[in-house]
Amino acid sequence: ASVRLPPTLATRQQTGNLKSTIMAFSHFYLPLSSLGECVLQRAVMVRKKLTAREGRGWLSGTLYCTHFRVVFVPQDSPNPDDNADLVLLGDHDVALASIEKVVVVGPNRTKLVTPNSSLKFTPEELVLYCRDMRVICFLFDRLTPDPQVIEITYTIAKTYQPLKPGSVLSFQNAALGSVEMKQFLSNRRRDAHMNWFDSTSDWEQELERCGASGWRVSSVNDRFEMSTSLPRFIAVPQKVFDTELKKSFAHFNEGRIPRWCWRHPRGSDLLRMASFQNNIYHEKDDIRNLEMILFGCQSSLCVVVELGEELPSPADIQLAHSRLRTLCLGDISTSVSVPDDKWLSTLESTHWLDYTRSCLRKASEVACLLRGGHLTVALQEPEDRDMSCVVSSLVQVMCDPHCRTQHGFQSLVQKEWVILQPHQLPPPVTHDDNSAPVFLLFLDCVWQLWSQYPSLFQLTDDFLLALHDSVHLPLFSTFLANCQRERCKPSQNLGQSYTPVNGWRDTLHPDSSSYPSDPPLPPVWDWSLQYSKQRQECFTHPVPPTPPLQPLLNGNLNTNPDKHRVTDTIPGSVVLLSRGVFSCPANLLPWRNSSSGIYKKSHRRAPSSENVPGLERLLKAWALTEFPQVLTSTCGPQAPLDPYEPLLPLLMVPCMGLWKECYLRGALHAQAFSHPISTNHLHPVERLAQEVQQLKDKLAQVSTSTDTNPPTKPAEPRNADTNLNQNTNNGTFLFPASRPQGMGAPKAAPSPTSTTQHNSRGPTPSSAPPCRPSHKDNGGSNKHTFLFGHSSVAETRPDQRYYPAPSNAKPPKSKSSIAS
Amino acid sequence: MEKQAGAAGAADGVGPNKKSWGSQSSGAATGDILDCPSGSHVEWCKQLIAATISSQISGPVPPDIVNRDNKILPALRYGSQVRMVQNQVPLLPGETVQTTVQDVMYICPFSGLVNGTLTITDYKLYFTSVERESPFVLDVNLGVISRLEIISVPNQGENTKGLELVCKDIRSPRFAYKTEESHPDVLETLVKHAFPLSHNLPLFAFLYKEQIPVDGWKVYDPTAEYRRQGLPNESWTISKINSTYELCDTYPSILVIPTNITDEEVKRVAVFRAKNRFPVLSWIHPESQATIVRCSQPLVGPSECRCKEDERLLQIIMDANAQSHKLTVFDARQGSVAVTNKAKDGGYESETFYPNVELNFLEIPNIHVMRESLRKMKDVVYPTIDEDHWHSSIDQTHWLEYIRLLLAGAAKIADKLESGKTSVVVHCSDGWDRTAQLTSLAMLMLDSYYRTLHGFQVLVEKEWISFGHKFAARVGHGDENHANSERSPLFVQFIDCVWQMTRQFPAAFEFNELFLITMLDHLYSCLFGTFLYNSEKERAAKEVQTQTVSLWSYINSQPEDFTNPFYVDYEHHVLYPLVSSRHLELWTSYYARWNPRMRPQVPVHQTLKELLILKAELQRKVEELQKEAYSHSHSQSSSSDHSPSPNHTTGTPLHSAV
Repeated sequence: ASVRLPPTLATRQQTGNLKSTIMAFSHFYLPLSSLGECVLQRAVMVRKKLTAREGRGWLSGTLYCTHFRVVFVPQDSPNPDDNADLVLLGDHDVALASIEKVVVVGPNRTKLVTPNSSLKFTPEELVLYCRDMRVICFLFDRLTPDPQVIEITYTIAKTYQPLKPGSVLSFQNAALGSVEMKQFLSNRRRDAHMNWFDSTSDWEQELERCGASGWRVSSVNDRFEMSTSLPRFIAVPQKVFDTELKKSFAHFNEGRIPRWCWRHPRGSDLLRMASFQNNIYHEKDDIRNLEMILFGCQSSLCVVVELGEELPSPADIQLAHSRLRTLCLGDISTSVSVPDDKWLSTLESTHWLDYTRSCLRKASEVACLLRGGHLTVALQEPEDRDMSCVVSSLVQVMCDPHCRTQHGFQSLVQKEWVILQPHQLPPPVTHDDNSAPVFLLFLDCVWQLWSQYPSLFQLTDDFLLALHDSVHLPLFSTFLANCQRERCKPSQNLGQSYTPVNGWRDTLHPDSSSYPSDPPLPPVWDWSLQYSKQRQECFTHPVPPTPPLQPLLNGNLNTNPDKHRVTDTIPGSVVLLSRGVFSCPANLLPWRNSSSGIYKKSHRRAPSSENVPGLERLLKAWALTEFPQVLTSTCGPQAPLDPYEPLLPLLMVPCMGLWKECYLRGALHAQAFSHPISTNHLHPVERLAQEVQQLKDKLAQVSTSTDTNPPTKPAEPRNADTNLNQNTNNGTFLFPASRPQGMGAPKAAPSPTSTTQHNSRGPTPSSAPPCRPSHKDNGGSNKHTFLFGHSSVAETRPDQRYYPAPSNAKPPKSKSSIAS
Repeated sequence: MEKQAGAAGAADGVGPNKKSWGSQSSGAATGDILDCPSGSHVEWCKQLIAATISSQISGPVPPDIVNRDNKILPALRYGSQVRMVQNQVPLLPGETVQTTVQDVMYICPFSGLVNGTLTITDYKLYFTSVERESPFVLDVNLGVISRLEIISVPNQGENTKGLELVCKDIRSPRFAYKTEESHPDVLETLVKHAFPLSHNLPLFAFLYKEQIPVDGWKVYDPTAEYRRQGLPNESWTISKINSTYELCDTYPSILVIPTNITDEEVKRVAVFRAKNRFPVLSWIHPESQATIVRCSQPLVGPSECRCKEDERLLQIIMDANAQSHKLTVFDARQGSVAVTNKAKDGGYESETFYPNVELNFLEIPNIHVMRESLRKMKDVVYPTIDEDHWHSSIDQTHWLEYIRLLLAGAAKIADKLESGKTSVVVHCSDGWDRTAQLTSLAMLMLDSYYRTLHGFQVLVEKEWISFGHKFAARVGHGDENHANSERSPLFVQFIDCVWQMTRQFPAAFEFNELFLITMLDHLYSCLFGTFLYNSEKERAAKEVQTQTVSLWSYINSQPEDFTNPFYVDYEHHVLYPLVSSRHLELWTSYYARWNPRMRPQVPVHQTLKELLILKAELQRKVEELQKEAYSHSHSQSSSSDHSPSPNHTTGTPLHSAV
């Protein structure tokens, strides 16, 4: 009763007093308005089109444009909870910096709105095309005052950030610059569950986690004197002293010497390095050091994996990505649309899926090599910036279950992308058009792995999607500074920045005295700034990953679990893997080149080609079996395998999926009918996970609430929530609110018990799942409750949740229609 | 075409196939029947299917694996036992080995030549080899064979013959074998049993002796199904006018027709409709009383014939639904084709003669186009996949384009009923192909009952089997005339559409992908009687229900294998699938399932089953605890009026006035 009733269409229609309604709206709570955010424009009675994820359909509310975001406040959203965490962006909000294009749809026409354009008609629909490939669509009601419609369109068009220098900074200032926000951010704690890789102890912790004995953390580059692009701390072999180490930087492009990335439990190490500097004289001592660094702790065999030639170049990736964007966005303002019967051909011609496939193939090969045990695999790329990040991180996702958890993955990104190789994260606004979306390609590859092995990941595609979208938002320190050096020396004017396409060039921020320290940028991993608790809960599976099973011999690389150790190798052998072929070119290591002469004295010339057959066996596609052994396959529990067995993805082209939840989110082209379409794209596993979680919650509830006061009102379980969500589409075929009591209890969904999700959650009992703490018991729920109808308002006045209220609402289907 | 299977087979008529029994080198005690302690056929069969979509191999296995592992199969469910012959060929009850040939070479398109033993029974072809790291088994039921072709096998000696089995399920295994005198002719045996009807032999379904306690023939009872829909009512009656199949020999005996029309009039309408398939009710909306009515094209002809009774019947159908003053006719054909059909005595309902009728053409091409499209698809997915042009070659088959047309057409129909509250009449030319596809898809969208495991069986029985989709002609069961232009994969196309819907609404269907694939496999296999023959009349004459086992008996005896663990009964939801080609996918786990490189490491089916068990376990636990909590709260205070029992809700009347 104390909940203030937001005005609804029903009340408006009843009173018929438009003016009073607008007055009511103007009092409406705008989150964050206390943090120095100013509302530039407002439009009432706007409907937002919901995506498949959100259940499709429409949501009515009020649209605001502030100086850094477009805010949509649904009309039934609850009152602000004073204790709720401040958030930068709500679930329905769009940062102005994310917007790429503003398009309006009027009667029989569409128009691209630029800051200078003028409208000659009143838009009925406002479409925001975002850099992260979202397409957000707002519908104006007939009752929305025309001036509001036109003004908010102008305002958005003028204040969103077209690509121009300095706009990032002004956007950052707008979003984070207020005193309150700075205060707020400075009080935020870093997530202690993940490894941030910015101190010696962080690196030591990782060495310990991987059991990488024989390696140590060196701070030889602490002042970035050895290499400007390398991090302050690097992991190198214990036997190499810093004094020796210093001499080797010159032998590698940009000083990017071989560095340890990860150790496979079978003892193989994964390294990354840039190409060798060839025009340098190799001292005898240098050679000894170089060999030691390269071989790491393995004295026997080093495989150099050449990445440059087989994998796409950053320019290729950029081109493919922009084609993919154009294809998937389905921009209605340009009349270019792909006919239905050419869709797949056009998709093929983007080559995006080819590139994900080649990255996955390369990573699978490396994973198979590492599994062979006791060798060193060094990924070599001329500049060690692009594909080595992708391959190295993919290998770890494939092999290391820890990297398939949310925190493990965040640590991995921190290690491989932010600290070790910082350049490739696309600084989104400033050079969106010429930076290569290598990181996006990596995310796509992880998604491919995830979609083939969903049960072996703790993180979900929701998490990947959130990360994908955040990359495009220039608010996070994680993606903005170009290397650790920049992050560490905030006030220094760097003068130039690097992009892989254009190379070194002058920085876009001549006034970088204030960059990036002011305002301080939060890390992207502080998810609460952007995502409500509910949405963060979807980042992980509640069900623990199942152990891997005996592999299927499908002829897809080496799926044979037999241990194929490479034995009897002569110490000091080096083999090159390039284009899937092993070879031992004489000049692979420049210092072993016969011309240098020194090598021969110090080392026995290794006839390394003897190792090739052994290595080939590691990669060999194992027996294809046309008809699987049915009788052996499905009976009996199979012994779980080593958890570090790599997840080898299917690499056939038909097995490469399009990440539709990401690229095809713009539902505009999907309109088959004039009315919204009910669909649900939740992944089945995810769905069940939700349900299991819900059942577990219920268990916890029941076991704790036995002695507490009995719950008083029915709250619908989550599955039914999705139901409701879907129902918002079209009043004509929805009856959940009016469904007769007692008959609806669906078989699969837990029945709507009279339990409240909120009051009895408190202490998690011991029977609760260990994998995820319940944390729904605070104000974080304010983003979703309006949909789910927890409030008594919604319960008693169900029809008002749907807009427009169906004037011809039908009674529920008669019982005669139900199967006997 | 000189390599015709039949002709070639007749040419080398070698000895009787029984010889093979004696010539077996390995078989010390031939015909020795092992009493396997476990492993009913059904279990085995299920695994076989499961394996085709998502299987696991546990590394190299010892050669005796087949025998050994049969013993650890789950306990026997119903008495029948798989008979095992010495050479490890599992046999179904009623199945007999026809010939066994040693030293046959299987030409595997994925891993080269495999040498092994080929056994041909009257149901299947079974090839085993133990020469590899893991034993190799290839099992092809004979019903799936579309044609047999002699191929040339280079470099294998003069008296080596090559044989290609072109199958209906998108694969073509090839074998090479020596034509020595001691060998019976493989080809002849194969031809005889793959095409029994062409050789005056019975279909295997009539030999199959499995006893399954569940009777699948009871799944569909037309009267009960119409009662479920609320029929008869004041406008519609259940008629026995066709009880002897005299009026229309391709319709079922029980039909629903308007109350206000006499039998005489119906008979005159039947004459005016192609193949006498006059308009009858398929489905009625429980609220608006809008109906889906199906029929064939009117015989308008070049002279623009009219039929007063037909016009009156459509008027009555429209009047039976008080909500709308229109009747929409969906003609599945392309408009131009419908016009040219007039020259062949066919045609369409002219809006001038049928007042209040709105005519829509859904522009779906005919069965020949669909057959050609699937043939192109086979070239794309089997045996090798052109990885560089995969997507564009899929585009070129136009298969997804036709799937899109069908789904879009069905969604239009569903929308017309649901939103427009208007009755619809659906027909194509004869009303048994595209019409069945469209009406069943529309009903699937509209009525959640059909999305259950049981309801879907009813839907197939009703719209496809009883209403005379010509399964025998379209599939060509046991018939060697593979070039028959009557053949077309329309049911496959329908199941593909259903699969597309299950992809878009993963929680809305009670059945899973395995169910759909199982249905398609047994569409061809001739193991069950369900899909045999063209009409209810023929099936009654052949006593299919008493002589054969129903596919549904098999399915319903182990529903847990075919159940979707994510199913939520969206009881009153109408599903509108997205029909843009961006949201359609090629069903690779069916079409490309023979390629071992496409087999996922994580077996989907197994995962689903595990989840199902997990879910059941949790639900049971929840209920237990709820009970406990309930008794707790009751013992504490008897006045407590709120219980956490699932059915109890403190009812605020949720339905308030608008």
